[in-house]
Amino acid sequence: MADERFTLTEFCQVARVDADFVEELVGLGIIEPRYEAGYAYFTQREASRCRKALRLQNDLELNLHGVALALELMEANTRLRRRVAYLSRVMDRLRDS
Amino acid sequence: MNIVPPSKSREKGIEYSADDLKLNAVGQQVNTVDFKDYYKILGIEPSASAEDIKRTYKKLARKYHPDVSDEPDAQAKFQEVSEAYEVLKDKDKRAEYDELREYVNNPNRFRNAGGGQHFQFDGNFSAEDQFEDLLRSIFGDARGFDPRGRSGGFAPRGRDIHHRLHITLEEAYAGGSRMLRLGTMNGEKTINVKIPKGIAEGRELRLKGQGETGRGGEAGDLYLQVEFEKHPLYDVEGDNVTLVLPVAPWEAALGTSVEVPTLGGRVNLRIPSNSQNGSRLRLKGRGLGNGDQFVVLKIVNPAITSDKDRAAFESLKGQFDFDPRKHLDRAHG
Repeated sequence: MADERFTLTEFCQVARVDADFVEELVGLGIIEPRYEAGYAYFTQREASRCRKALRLQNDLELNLHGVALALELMEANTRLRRRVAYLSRVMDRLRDS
Repeated sequence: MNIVPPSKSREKGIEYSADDLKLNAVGQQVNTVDFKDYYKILGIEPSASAEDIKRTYKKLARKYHPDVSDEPDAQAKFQEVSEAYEVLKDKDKRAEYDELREYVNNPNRFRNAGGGQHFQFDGNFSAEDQFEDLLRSIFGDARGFDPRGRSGGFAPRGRDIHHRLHITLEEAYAGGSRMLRLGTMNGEKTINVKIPKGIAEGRELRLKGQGETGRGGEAGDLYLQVEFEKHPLYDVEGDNVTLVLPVAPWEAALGTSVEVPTLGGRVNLRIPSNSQNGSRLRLKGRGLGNGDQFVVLKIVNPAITSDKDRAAFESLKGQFDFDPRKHLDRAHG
């Protein structure tokens, strides 16, 4: 299933941010453009991260370093929860008769 | 207040949902707005200091921020709390609000005095109207108020709608479509959502232009977070599917070939001899998309219901010089 690709302009539209903000995020490694045949593009995953970053910055007044850390922790958290839920369900099946 | 209550029901493949959680209460298309007690919302006394208000707001903002919160009504609570803070943080606005609140709680006190410092409490204007005016004066056009709308000056594109889409594993495996009914600011709308074949859990589908209509600008987008319904047989992690397979002790010990279900139909699985409980076998490419199906063996004993059954087991016991707890005895005395 191919992910939709956005140029910088499209990306700013979709993520509802300006190019300066994107540049800041890229500078801190919060989002990274991908490359193919020499041109750069973003995907929905970056758009989602970007929107979250903006919200965290505005609503909780985090600076971008805090935002970067928060995003990484949030994503790790989600992965762990999914893993735990999965393991828990499999264990239940092993146990039930 | 004309809020569609949150509800979810499945009916003939149509999924109902109310998007009310994403709507600011003030942004409803109604004539009057219910009065809200901001002190109650923040959980503070009306006599709280500006410091208290700020500190409490910040704590609650962290607690209910939808990106980080586990709370059930995080989005709605966050907007409520933000709205409360916007009003109470300003000395003048707070004074106006306090008077309104006083009137709502003690209408007679003002009736006798003919009015208060800020408002005229006669028959012409209800407290609700004045409350709405107050909010309008703070937030501008009440419709579409979003405490987060500070991302810079852009064309007034409609807001995005975020929603969860629950699908079955079969739908994810084969792809398909689903009718989705949404409640939006402009009423209900029904959308046909295409489910891409092999979609994994946690992916987000973006439906361009299906969000809220913009005021003069483009419509926002609709984002659907894909989640799988619990399946009677399978558990999913990423694009891998796991099946717990019950087997008889002799099947695991001797090895055998069994037919197992997969999302794409039944296939033959070779169980190697000397398999153990919990052994994991892999059916490559039988998961979602490029994922695999794992088969975890669950050895199940037959029940002993007769002397002959017992004898069979006793015979097994006699045959094997087998101590499964050998390592336990030695290491831990």
